[in-house]
Amino acid sequence: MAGIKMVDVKKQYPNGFVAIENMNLEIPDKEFVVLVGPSGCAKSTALKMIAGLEEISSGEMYIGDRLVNKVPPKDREIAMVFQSYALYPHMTIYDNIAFGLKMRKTPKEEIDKLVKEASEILGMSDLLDRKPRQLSGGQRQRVALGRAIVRHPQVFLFDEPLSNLDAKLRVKMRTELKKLHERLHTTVVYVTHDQVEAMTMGSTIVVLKLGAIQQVGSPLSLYSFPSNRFVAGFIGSPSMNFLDCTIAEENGNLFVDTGAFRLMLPEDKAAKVRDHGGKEFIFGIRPEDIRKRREKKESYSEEHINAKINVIEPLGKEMYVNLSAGNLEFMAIINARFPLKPHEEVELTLNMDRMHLFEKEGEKEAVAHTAKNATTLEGARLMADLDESDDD
Amino acid sequence: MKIKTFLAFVGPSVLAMVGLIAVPLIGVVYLSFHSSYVKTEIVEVKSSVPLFGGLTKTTVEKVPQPVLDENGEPVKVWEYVGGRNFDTVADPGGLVAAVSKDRSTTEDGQPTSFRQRMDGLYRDVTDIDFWGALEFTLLYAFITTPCILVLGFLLAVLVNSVVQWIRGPLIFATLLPFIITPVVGSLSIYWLFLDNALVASLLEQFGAGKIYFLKDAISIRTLIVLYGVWHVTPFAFVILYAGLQTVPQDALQAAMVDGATYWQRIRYIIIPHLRALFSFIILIHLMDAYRIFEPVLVFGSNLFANSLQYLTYYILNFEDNYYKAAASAILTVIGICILLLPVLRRTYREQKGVA
Repeated sequence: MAGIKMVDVKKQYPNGFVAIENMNLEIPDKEFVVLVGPSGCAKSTALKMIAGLEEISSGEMYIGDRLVNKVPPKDREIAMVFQSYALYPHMTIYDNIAFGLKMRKTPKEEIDKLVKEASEILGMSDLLDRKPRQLSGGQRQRVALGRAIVRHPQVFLFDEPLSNLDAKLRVKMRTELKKLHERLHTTVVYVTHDQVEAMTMGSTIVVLKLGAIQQVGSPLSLYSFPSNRFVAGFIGSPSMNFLDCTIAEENGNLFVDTGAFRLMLPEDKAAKVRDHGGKEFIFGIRPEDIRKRREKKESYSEEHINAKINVIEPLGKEMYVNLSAGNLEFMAIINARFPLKPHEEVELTLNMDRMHLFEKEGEKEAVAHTAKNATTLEGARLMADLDESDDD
Repeated sequence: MKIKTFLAFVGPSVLAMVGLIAVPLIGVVYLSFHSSYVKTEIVEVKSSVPLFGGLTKTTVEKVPQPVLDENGEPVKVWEYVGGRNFDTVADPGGLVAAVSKDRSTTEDGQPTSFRQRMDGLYRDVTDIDFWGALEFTLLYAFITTPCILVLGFLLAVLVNSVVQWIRGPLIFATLLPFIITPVVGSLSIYWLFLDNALVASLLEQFGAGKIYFLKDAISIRTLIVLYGVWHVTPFAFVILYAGLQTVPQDALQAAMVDGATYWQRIRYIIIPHLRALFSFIILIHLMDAYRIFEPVLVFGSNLFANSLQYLTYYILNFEDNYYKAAASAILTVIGICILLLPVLRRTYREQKGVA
């Protein structure tokens, strides 16, 4: 078993393009880590560098305690599952799974034993003498998994393994992969562009943008304490509302002024931006932190605004409501029991304890609970602890 | 699609195929079963030669003479001859005689070794024009095919592994032998190996003695085979190179992670991926090789290395016998069909397997 450590890892292509600039990341042993980001964020490149399929331009890469910069993929004790499954089309399923063992000159009886074992774990013992083209997408996915687990590697690398499956199967495989991780108890590095997949599967999530780590943390800490606007917008669905604003001061109180409405900042947040009066910010609030105003007082610092309903998307339990106030548009998730209609005026409550302010320049979160931006696992842990004590 | 539109669409090509392929082919088949000749009769010709003294000597000779019709034109006979043309081309009687000939003793009564008997059999069989031509044709086909597959594949892998910007010029250079027409290609090799030409005189200077490349069966045959490999390898190369571009990179990377070495990746991933293309090249090249003609013509070597196609040409031009030439052509076509049968069957099965 082994963890992974990247120290100042850089990837520059021969044409000069820098895909990854000084990446520092430590993945502890047996952790399920998800690298997530939009396309072009170099998450797959990072994964392939761990696999040894992409060369490292500079920096150091460790698997366990071993420096692996110059170690070829086959000697890194890793297994990889590809997005396209990358099965060998002319071989039977048995041979596909056994290929890695054969290349390592494992004795025949042992290969037989290991392949049977792996195929039983994945429930495909009766498919062994078929060819990949005779299998469905989900079954191929299993074969790719089988090929990876049969070798008992130190580290599993998954490159968007579920993105070729239909939505229903994807949800099912998500659970299965998680179960598999619990059973095998091996380090997993999982790449995806789908933040829902990242949130549901990872014990730690690494958010990437343009080859740079934005934030590292547990799913909930990323959700509650995004360190910048990108992470805030990327994690969570529907995505956070962002409204341009300035900070105004009145009678010693600080206000967020969006033009359409003013919101008073809670004391702790106000303290962090007190000397920024008049400066431009981006106000961020998640749709689920905007509610329909109730009679009784909420347990958090609340602010109220009036808005007009544009569109309602009912989902059963709740509804996504597109609203506008002045010339601003935003989204709220509102309990379905309220009888709302389009074009109505509605009174809303905003949970100001959960709001964010991002600097216009650099887009860093300015009023986070902790000044420490969690780009390290340590920081992430700290924030996760904070997160747990912060339920309302 | 409407039937009318469909017919209008395929009509011209069907017409061309019928007119340019089917009709001539039927014509050749028809010719091969017939023969024609000018009808002749034996007439007695009396001739009197005046001798001295008013005497004459009369002789009666029997001479053949064309039969004339009422217009004074010779009468042509057109006749169905069954398999006679085929018989004269393939000479099965001669083949049976050559095979069953007793070679157990030499002319002076000594017992012969197995090797001597085999040599004798080979000589007698290949002495018959058709079987000699068939022998070299098959030899050429079966030696060149594996050579072009291996060389073409190696070249493709090589070009595929060099830096992108060199590939274009490299592909062009590799294709050159295929672009040059067979006659010119054969001629250039022929000239290289003439008695006093470059290769022979160079070798002589280096003390190899005088070598007459074009006066010896083995060297001529080797040259023709070499020419064939040189000429057709680019064909295999370009197809396999195109094939290499379609090898799934993921599968290659998966194999790398699985621990396969470079050669194992070629053996287990790339070659199986290109299998259909290998079949295709074999198919096309066997067809081409079976019709080898130009080098045999250029090397003027039909004594040492004949080919079926050249035989047909020879019968047509020098024996001036359309019917026999047609039979020879038909035999060539039948030969190609037999040769291709296993490849076609395999391809068919593979296709069926995929579907």
